[in-house]
Amino acid sequence: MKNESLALILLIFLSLLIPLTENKYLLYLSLKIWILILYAIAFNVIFGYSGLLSFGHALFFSGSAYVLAILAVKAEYPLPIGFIAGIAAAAAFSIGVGFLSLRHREIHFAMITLAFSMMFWGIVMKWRDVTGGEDGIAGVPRGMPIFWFYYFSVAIILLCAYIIYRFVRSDIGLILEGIRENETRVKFSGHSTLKYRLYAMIVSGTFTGVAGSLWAMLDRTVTPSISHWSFSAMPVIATLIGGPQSFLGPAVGTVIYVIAQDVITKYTLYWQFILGIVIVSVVLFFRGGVMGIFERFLWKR
Amino acid sequence: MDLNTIAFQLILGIASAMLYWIVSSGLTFTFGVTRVLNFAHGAFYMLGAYFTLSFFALTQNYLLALFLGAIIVALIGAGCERGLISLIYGLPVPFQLILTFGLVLLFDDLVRIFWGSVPKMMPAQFIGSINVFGRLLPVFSLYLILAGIAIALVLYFLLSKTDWGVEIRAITVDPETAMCSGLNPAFLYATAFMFGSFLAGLGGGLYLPISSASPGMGEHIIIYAFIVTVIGGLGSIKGAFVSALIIGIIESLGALFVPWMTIALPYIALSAVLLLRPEGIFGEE
Repeated sequence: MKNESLALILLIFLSLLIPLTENKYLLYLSLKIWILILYAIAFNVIFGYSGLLSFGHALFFSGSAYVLAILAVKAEYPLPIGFIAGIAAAAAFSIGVGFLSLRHREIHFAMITLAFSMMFWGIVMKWRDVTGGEDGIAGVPRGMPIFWFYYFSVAIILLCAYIIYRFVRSDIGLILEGIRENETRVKFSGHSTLKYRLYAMIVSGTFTGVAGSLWAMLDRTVTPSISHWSFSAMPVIATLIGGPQSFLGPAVGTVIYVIAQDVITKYTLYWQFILGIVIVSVVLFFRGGVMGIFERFLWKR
Repeated sequence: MDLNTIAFQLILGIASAMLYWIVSSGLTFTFGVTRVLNFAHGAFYMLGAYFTLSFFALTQNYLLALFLGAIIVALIGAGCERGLISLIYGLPVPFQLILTFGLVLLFDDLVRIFWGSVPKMMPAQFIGSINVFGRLLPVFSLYLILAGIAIALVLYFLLSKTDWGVEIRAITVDPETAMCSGLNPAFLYATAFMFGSFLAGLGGGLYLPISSASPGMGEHIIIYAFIVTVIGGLGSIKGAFVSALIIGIIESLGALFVPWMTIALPYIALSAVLLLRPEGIFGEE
């Protein structure tokens, strides 16, 4: 455990040095990884801890990004208002979708989250006056130079990750894991499983929204690609690679995923093909992900 | 808005409903038997379209190509079930979903490798239209409706009149008792998967005379198939037929009356069903 914390602090420290190198590409890539780490950790509240597979988290991510972009660019509101409104929108979406999908079995949850996120994608593509259609919205302000934006974002992400950590280690987190393992038993002990799953959904969706807002400001454009279902699949795959059963698994998976994508797409067009093989082999042979392998072979707890 | 226009639009709606039905019936049937929701069902639909295209280039006979294409897809489906999906029947639901999702990515890129990324059209088939209510209806819409009804009848016959159908129903209702009575689950699951994939492939081939085949074409249909199966009740074949009709008709009449919100209509129907009857119209609690 001590080694893990040391490695973690060292990695965070190293990434804080990146803006000092003045390498724009590296800075951009590093911050992208940071934001996607928050995305994956927030996603895993509902997947790893609650046992529900969401295929529609792009709805919360892009919902928040679009609200920020529309308010800040089209309506010309101040940026902080757009930032907060975006996150509030993600929270509202998560309540709505959670309310519709959580009452029933896990399979419904995956299908319904996917369906509603694709509805949002359809609306974004069609409602050109507001969302810019396929072109999206360009010129999202950052409010500060990229150098400071990097530290601002990392600070927010670390804070959010800490709050999520406290959430999954709280009593609610324990009950969620209980529901995942044996729903009937938790019901017998007098807890409303729907209520706790809705809490998890709101936490997951809201922090996904934070990641989405940061992404909009980093990219300075918002396009429909972030509301497409392939973007919902990103945290699913990253979490699977890293390991859903540990808090940092999704973060490890995201680092591997983004760097692998960055390298592999330089050599081949068929990145999805490789991804497909990775997913199938992880599900068949390494269900604990990278963290699971570590635990099994290296640390031998 | 005169009645003729509405009636005409209704027929078009039923025609697209039949495509939704054919694809959803395979999805809901496979789920009912194996309890695995196959994300790759849309990918099988896409493969059906591409194989039909290639067989058509060889044989110049659409019906033969359609049939051969669906057979190949059925074999691929059976291969996936035996080689991959059968290994994870006991695992939690999310792993099954993710595994079949991995297959979607694999097949999408395989299609790009073998057939290219550019959408492909089949040479025009079934040219001509008939006069219905003073408008010209593409003759293929009628064939599609007939095909949908034929598949419904075949499914009914297979499940209620053949030994295989009875065994399939037995293992669906109570797997343990069925196995104790000497039924072979591996055979039944594999054939159920094969048959579901066959229907997906058939749907893909039937889409060709309407539009082109492209990688990722399965993504649109799988979401519709999800909506249809959730509304009808997961695992219910009757439900899939009824809800496919509902969605097809809502969409076509919506295009007439409220064109600005057509894309949202299926989802509004989905939300309404989830709120009023979460298990679906014909679903069991």
